[in-house]
Amino acid sequence: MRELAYSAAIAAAGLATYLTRFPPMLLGRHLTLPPRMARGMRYIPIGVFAALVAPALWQHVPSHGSIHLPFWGATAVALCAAWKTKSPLWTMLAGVVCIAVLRAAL
Amino acid sequence: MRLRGASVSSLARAALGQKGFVQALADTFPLSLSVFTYGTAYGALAHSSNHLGLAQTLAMSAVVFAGASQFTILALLHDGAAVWAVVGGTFLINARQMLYGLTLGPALKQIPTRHLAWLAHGLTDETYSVTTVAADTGPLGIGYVAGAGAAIFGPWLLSSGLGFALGGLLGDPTRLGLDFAYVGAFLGLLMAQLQRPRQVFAALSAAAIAIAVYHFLGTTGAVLAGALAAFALGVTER
Repeated sequence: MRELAYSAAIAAAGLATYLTRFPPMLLGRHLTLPPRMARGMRYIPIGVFAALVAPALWQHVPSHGSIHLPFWGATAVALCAAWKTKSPLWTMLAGVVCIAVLRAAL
Repeated sequence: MRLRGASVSSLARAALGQKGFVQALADTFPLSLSVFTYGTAYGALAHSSNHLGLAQTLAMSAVVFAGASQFTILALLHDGAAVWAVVGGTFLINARQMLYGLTLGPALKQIPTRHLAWLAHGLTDETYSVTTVAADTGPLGIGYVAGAGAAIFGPWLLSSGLGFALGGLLGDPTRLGLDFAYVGAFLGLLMAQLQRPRQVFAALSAAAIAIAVYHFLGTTGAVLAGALAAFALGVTER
């Protein structure tokens, strides 16, 4: 019985999520924006990326004696890699390798 | 012969070309890796919560396919929440995807509705990020959108199953530094967008506002607030 309730909840949650995906796309296809609005829209990815990464960085702000040295070392290296390569792949790889090395060393 | 040569090369262009399926797989790769580590954690949690079997764990990853909300659903089921609470919570957590769909819309005009109906299921934070960057250089085709979706859906499903199978046996992913994949990938995506001082200012403003809002409203609140801050700076640019 509980099995069935879980399956129903999963199916319904899937449907609710689909409603956040497909209908807005259909609506967006009919969107024709004045130039000023279009300029604003081009800034939205910047806001979204910043908002996805900022809380993860904030979690590592030093407090209560823990300074998260490997994390901030890796963040600094990743920023350098991003600046040099402009590539998300190299940015991620540089950060992952750096944090693994620092954790092993410290 | 010429005809054959031409058709082969146009086929290759369609497959490998600027906005093809394979290109999307390559563009999405850093995020595929980040999603893989996240999905393993989801699978392991589903296993340890002792409520879902492997089939239901995988079904949720296939049907809901949205990371943060799946962790929440596990917690809600654990607490014995009613179906309507699960559905409402899931909708609110994933509401930011409405913004993604709306803003991607103009770049999707070439895709027939019957194809968009299944491609839409691939929309996540990650696929939005890759496709919105690609949409800067022209309209999106079926191949590219499908490739970006597959590059996230595949690792998500696979890692959910792996996490479930390994359960508690799984070592700490921080040992390999893989917990940094998320931060690194989105930092890279963000940095590649910043060319003018105003864009840097927009990123910093959005980050500050997102941190403040995240505390109260979680990821969806943070994303909507950050997007609004950046949008305001874009609209007022002269």
